[in-house]
Amino acid sequence: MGIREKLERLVARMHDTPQYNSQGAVLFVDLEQKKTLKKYLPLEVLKNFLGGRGANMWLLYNLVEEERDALDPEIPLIFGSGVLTSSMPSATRGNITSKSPDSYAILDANAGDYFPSFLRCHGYDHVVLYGRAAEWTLLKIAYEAVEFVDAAPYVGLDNLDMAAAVERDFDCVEREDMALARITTSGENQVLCSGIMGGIKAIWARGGGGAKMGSLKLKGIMIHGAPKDLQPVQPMAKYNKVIGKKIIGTSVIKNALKMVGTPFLYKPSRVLCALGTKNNQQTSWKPTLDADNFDPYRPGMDGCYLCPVHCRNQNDMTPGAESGWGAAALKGLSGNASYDKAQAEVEHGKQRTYNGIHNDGKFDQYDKGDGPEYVTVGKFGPMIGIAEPEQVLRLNNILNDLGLDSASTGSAIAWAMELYQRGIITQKETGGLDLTWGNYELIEKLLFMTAKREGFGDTIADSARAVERGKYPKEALDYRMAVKGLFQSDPHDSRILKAFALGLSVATRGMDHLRNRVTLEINARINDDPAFKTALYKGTVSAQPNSYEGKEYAVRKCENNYAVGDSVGMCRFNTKLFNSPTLPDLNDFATQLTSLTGQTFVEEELDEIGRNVTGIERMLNFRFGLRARDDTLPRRWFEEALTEGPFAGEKIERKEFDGMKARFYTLTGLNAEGAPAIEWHEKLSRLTTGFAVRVELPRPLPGAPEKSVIIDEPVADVSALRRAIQHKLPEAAADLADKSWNVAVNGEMVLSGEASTRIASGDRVTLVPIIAGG
Amino acid sequence: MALLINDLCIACDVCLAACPNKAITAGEDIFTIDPDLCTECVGHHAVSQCVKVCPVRACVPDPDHQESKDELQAKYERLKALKAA
Repeated sequence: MGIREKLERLVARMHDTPQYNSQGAVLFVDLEQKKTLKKYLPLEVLKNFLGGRGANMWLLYNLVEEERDALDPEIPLIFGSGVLTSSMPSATRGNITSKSPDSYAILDANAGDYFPSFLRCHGYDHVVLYGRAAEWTLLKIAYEAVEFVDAAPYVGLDNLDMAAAVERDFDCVEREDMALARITTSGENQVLCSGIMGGIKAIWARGGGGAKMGSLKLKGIMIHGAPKDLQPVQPMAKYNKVIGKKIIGTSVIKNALKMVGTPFLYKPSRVLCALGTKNNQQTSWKPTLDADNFDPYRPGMDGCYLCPVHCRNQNDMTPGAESGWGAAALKGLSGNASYDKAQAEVEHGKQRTYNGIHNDGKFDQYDKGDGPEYVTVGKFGPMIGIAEPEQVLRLNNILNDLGLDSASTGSAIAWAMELYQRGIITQKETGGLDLTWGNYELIEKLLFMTAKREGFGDTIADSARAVERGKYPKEALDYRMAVKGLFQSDPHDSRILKAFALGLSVATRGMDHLRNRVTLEINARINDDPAFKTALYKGTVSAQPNSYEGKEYAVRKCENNYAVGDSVGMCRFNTKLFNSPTLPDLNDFATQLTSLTGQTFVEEELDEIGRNVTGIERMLNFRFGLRARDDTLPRRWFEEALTEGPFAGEKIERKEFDGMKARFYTLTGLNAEGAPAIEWHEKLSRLTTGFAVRVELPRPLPGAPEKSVIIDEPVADVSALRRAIQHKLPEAAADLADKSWNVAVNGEMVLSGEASTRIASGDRVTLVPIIAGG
Repeated sequence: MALLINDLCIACDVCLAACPNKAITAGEDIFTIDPDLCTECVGHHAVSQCVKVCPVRACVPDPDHQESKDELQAKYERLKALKAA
């Protein structure tokens, strides 16, 4: 069934008018046929999945055909803003969702800046894109007006030039009266580690969104027109002050994020010797990349729409530029150096010495920009052997212009460098490039080659899929630092902190810290207060960072909180548990959701909604072929112990890890294959597709350890149901082909006429082995 | 008219850097706008910058200082001349 048929079936369940206060529409866009359709989601989507990421998953589940390649234009790309996006301080975010071309899992990436808020202010909660445009297209949205604009003039432009050209052609200013989600040349060339840019630096980074958008021949989505004045309803406005005060009163926000941004995290990981270095062969690197070394080049901070934090550190290395914002801000912050308090006093007195990248007094557009984040410092610092802050800044600015995900791109380069170091690839494969660690000139050149898929850049552009695309031999997979085919998002080597390790293994989009990171595991004050820690995570969690005990509680709670945060549009940095226990929590979100939508929400419901969102994501991943075996970690972390630092000798013990993962499955309500257990699965299916038939099997089958399976693709009769079971459990095809298994529907054996025996949602079906004989 | 900051203000400071007229002063509880310096960003931007960035929408028109766009433009020119002098 193609997407247009699926869509027809889906919109029959949707509405022509809003179902609750402030609801925006879903805009379906057929790029191939240049058609649009506007509908509203049913109320039960809000009540069970909220909006943003949660509602995106609901849409994807109904529209995706799992067998199709991720870059097939019949696989939709879905934008979604959170329910509270633009209505609450720091709720600035939105997600893009699809099947990932980069990993083997869902594509789900989150970004802020201005686009998600502008989208909502123009009356849309989601945009569902499908079909391949005949020519490169710019989709222009201005409230009710939706236009397909010829994007030929923008093809070949990267991030900065693309925004400037649109501003020029439409006489508008980005962030004033225009917001633009766009791809760069890397997206046009379907580079798997390319993202979708939402500003100078903002990027929907993970999972290959740039390639996916490029596969639809969609160069950009422009929201045209300043948001009309949207004063929040009165109770919301008053409580927004409470939320805003919570955010800016939090120590880590006030003292670190507002002053230097996320690079403050480099030092704690370095001091702990948990900094992924040279593709995680080592775990410590030089203090030259501590955040204060960027002070001389930091003119100020920027932020997303209606955010009080402004955590985005800017950089400017050109002559005469302002500098010194946040200088020495971290000095004395002992909480930023938990494992070596003396490090809090260390400052490097770094001076401004940059004189052009070739030290020749020549400067260009890449000598200033926004960022870097800690992730980019890590991936383009220690991970590839770079030690100079000026080089990291410049690479950061190039990555932003080329629209590359710094996590996957940096990891892909680090992987290639280790393969080169080991002789698994040579200059024969690299086209003569010298992939020696820290070779700055090579790395800068390789980024441009990657965006164009030129030479060895074509291999980096294949990201974690380089082996299956025939670029590397199979043994290269031993050194690939990825889970579910997605490279690790952050630089922190998690062989010490077992809660981090569990989170990376079970995260639904692959090896990514932003889905469930128990960041507070290194907070000594929390570890020293067992009662507080137990209350925080709703279960007893060991105070020892390297213990496996109770870590499942912490990961589960974080996963719930963050899924809700994404679904209401809240920034992760300002959501309770990610940076601090004092930040806005589910109760705060419930208060504002109730005020805005007119529907009642309480904290416990939101916690369950968070679990629902990850549940439907696991059901999607199951359809994409992922099983419990894919909730794992890179081989290196199980087999190679750390060689340095206070936790030298530490690694992941496989038996302990398996036990921790099993406890996480039980606590979450998953079966032995990592999919929602049968009762929950049935409920989620009914909520999502409106159809659920439970099939009891004669015995546990591969993919169905509970001896039962839920069919949620609507089927009309028993024959179609049999096909649906085979489709759902491809690994059990041989068992299911057994012709001696009859079907009973609601206890009635079907002895003939399977094609005419009707099946309805809620039916109970049993496969019954027949014993033949006289 | 000039703008004012009402008591929803959370003193987060993001309006300070955004104001092209340097009309905003930090305060412990709430920040304040000097109406003599505020042009609602006329002369600088199409949109009032403090209104654009305020996370709690505390920057609102000041009913006690109502000015037309022409008057705001004239104020901008005066301030510019003062700065140049």
